[in-house]
Amino acid sequence: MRRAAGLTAGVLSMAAASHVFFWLVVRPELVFQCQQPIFFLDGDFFRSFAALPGGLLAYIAAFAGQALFFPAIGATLLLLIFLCGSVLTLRVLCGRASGTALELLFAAALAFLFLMQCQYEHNLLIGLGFILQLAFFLLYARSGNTGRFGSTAAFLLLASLSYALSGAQHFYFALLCLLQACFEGRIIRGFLYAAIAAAIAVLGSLVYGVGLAEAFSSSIIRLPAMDRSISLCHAGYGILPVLLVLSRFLRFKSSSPKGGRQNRGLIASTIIGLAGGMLAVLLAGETEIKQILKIELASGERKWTEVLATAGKMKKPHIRATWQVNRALFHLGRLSEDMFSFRQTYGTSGLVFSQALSFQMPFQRRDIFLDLGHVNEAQHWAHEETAPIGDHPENLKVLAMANLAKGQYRAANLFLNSLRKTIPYRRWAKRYPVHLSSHVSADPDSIIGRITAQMPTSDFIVNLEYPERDLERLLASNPKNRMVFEYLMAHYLLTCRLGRLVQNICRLNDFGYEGIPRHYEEALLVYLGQSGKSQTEFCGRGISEKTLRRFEEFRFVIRKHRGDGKAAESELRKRFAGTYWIYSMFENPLMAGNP
Amino acid sequence: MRHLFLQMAFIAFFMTGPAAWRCSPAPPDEIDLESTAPIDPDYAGVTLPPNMAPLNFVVLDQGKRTDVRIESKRGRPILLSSRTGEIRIPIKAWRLLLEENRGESLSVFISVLTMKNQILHYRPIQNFIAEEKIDPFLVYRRIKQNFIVLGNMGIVQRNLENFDEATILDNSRMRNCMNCHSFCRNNPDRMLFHMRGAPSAGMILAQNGKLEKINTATPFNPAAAYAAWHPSGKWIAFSVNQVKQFFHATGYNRDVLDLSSNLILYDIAKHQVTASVPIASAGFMETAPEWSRDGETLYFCRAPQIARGTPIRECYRDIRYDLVRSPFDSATVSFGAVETVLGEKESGRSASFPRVSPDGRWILFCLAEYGHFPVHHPSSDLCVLDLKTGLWRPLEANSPASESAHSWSSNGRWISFSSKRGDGFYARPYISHFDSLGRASKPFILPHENPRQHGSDLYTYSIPELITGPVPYSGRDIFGTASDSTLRHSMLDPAVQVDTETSATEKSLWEMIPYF
Repeated sequence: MRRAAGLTAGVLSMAAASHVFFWLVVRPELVFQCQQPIFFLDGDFFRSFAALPGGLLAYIAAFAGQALFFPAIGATLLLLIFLCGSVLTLRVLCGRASGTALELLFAAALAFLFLMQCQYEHNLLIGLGFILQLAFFLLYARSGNTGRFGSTAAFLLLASLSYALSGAQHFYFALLCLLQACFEGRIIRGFLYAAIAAAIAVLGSLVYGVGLAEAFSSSIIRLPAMDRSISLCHAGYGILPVLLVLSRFLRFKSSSPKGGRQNRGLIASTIIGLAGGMLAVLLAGETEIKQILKIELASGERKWTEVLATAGKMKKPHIRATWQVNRALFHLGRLSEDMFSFRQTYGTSGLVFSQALSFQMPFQRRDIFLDLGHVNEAQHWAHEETAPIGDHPENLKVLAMANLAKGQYRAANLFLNSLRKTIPYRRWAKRYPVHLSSHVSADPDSIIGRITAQMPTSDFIVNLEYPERDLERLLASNPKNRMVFEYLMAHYLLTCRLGRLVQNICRLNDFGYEGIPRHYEEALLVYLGQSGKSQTEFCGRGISEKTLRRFEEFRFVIRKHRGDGKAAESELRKRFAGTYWIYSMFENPLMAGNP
Repeated sequence: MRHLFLQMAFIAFFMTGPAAWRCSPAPPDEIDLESTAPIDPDYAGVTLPPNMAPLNFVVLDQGKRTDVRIESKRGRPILLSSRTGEIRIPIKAWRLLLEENRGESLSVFISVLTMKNQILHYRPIQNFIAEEKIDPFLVYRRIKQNFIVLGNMGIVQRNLENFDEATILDNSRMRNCMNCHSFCRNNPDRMLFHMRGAPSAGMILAQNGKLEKINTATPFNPAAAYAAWHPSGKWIAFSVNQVKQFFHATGYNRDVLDLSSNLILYDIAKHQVTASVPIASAGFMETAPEWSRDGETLYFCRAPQIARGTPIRECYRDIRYDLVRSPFDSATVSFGAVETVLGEKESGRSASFPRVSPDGRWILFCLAEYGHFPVHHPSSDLCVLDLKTGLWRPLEANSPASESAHSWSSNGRWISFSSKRGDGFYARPYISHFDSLGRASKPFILPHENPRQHGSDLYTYSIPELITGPVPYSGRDIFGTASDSTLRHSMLDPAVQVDTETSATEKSLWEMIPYF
């Protein structure tokens, strides 16, 4: 009795530890951020799945994926998947090994399973499919003593059911059955299973009216934004067949333990597997993808200080992070003061994406244009984004906000109605009345009012290739748009077009700046140095003594190295880190390799 | 013991039940309202075809219960009740009621039991059931609103007599763009549409049970676009267009214009392309062909060719198309001098997409502020021109939003068109009755089984074309033809003089008209 209680307590504490780990270390909301699973509480949405092989499981995965938006519930979901996967894996391994071999194999499988749940690209569809295939395999294994025809019939039935529920993931089930048959020396039967699985997929293409390629790949590779890293992530499930093969070669002399001793052994292997998995995650530290996801999540929640804090920990700059950093700096009122405290390796692409980059990351372009009040372009890129990722709620939210800002209430209603059918965003959407008709009822959100105030007041044709021209036109159309002004000035700084910066410096008066922001002062001194002018006042604003003194020191260091920038680089970087001078001399991508 | 308890509970229920009924609150107040009930979609005051699927709707004034009675002169009224305000009309009873009452009015009585326990009786909605049936199928392209990145799209046929919808072809497997579906005189057996972009580019031509994929490009022209089938079925007039998309900073964001365009004539039997000066001239951009019903006249739109070197931003608002026509001699396969039917100077606006009515009397076309892509212009209205009198006027069915992509039913009594009146952004198919005097009734949106679908549908339905029956080609066959890499290449009529200065083949024109 005491032993059973101890065992239960052990399992529960390990489950609790895993839950806390998923919740606080992995952070399910980052998985949500990475995968952006789409789900609508809507009959039509369900029907869109029902017509596809594996549609049911995909629908369940889409629904379950919404739990990831809520950290504690998401952690519970990850835990459940991990637990189910672990228990079924153990049952499968129990059929092939025992004693120390089983413990070793189980520990390895557990570590892998745990690691899988910690991957941000790991899709629930694959995780749930894995559980289903193992459950089916165990059912099939039970039919082992029903004779040749009984086993084959059981396989046929289960494989067909698996295909209907989980699409081409039934090949995983077939693989396990094939291995089982081979281990039993029934190689021909094993390959018959493979042929049956393929035939089911061919039949599936006819029944579901889909092409062969789709029939053979549904629920496997047709995941949103599937790329190589995601494929590799899911390849981790290959560990189980590998372990099953390994079990053929692992031979330990010890006899099969019974009862309590076996339990103790399995508890130990569970602890080792879990600890191994957790250690691997912790040792890997904050991966780049995790940091980027944290930054993007924080920026979505407008937690700008958190954006900068996470970005500050990154080992090397990443365009997605740099872009969010500049956004955060503006919202914290620090863009013109601290922009070059963060490496601007990507030049203007780190500020406003070029068109080429926009196709890879349309949501960044969408968000920055919404911030800038360039609402039409925000709408444009939100719509472009639906092509690769579908009607993601964040996208619908931007479209709703853009239409609210434009006073297009009926169009806004359309997106709000869709958002009301989502789980994570329904509360946000429900702040707006069901039948919006006027601005009075439409603005519980001060952000929308701010966007409206920043919108251009006259039309122009958008320049997709050169966003700088749009910034100029936006400012000409709405000279009170401070964000556009700062982004335009930042653009001039990044492209070293200091003449343009000087031309616009008087606009500081329109926005109530005290003095000249630090980076502008630094740029003005470079400009004066290049043009040979001795001006120290710009529209009644003087360059501060501190900046003048620092610039003198900067020049002194260069003179000390006889004008050799390369020789002076180390000292300059050390003493003048975070200044525009360092960027313009060493980091400007236009001058890359030519400081 | 357990049985005893159940028996006691049973007795107690029957003893207290009638008492509870006696204690129910007083009957609700009944209030007659002067206004009709607010319903969505707006199916009030519309004229319906007798073979139309039920117009399901939602009563926006929600209460505890909504009661609806639909009745006409003959037959049994339809009685419905809903707790959500969502009214889904049984299809059988509806069809029977409509069929029995052709030419009669259809009344919809709506009462709402409010949360305050009042019954509001709204003034009944009066609709009208027309005598004439509508063609039973509507074919449209359902597309996500992506502008540059290729999104999901499909050409879909909807049975108007019920809610069945079938995909003719979608791009889920080929990732192609597909557009400009067109039918010869509402005949589902004669259909074409274009597949754009590698690897499956080509025109899918279906007729007489046969499917073909054709490359319509020749040394004279790039791939064809807008189509008009000659009534004889021997030729198809196409426009060939160099299109440029651009975006506005305020208002409706998307815009498109032609940098150049011409018309060509495609001989179906010979797979031969021909063109001549009246329809492919140097000084004009010709587009949107449409044959007269006798096939002896080709209507189209044209505007002066954009001058080279003119930035788009300086010229796009000044590009206005005239509605013109050219006589066609089918014996010599040649076109005569072009005559203006409605000039932009007269209308003050830009004409596009003329469609001649089946009786040959009316031309339905779009007038917009500028350009030739009315679907992107909120200013676009449907207009009707009486070929008998030469008089034209805007159609009664217009709204402040864009109306475009119109099509006639085979009997000429119904028109379908795309309108953005719902939300200003997504085009939806609307249907309107067109009477013998050229008047259009208040249009109604294509009904869905789920009446709330309109409220969150994030697809645009473009080019709703009415056809007399289902497309007789299976999706598998169409997909097979579309995905086949073998193409039948069109030949260029040797008589056509390829003039690199003026023809639509001039690729450099694209670069010669600056964007800004």
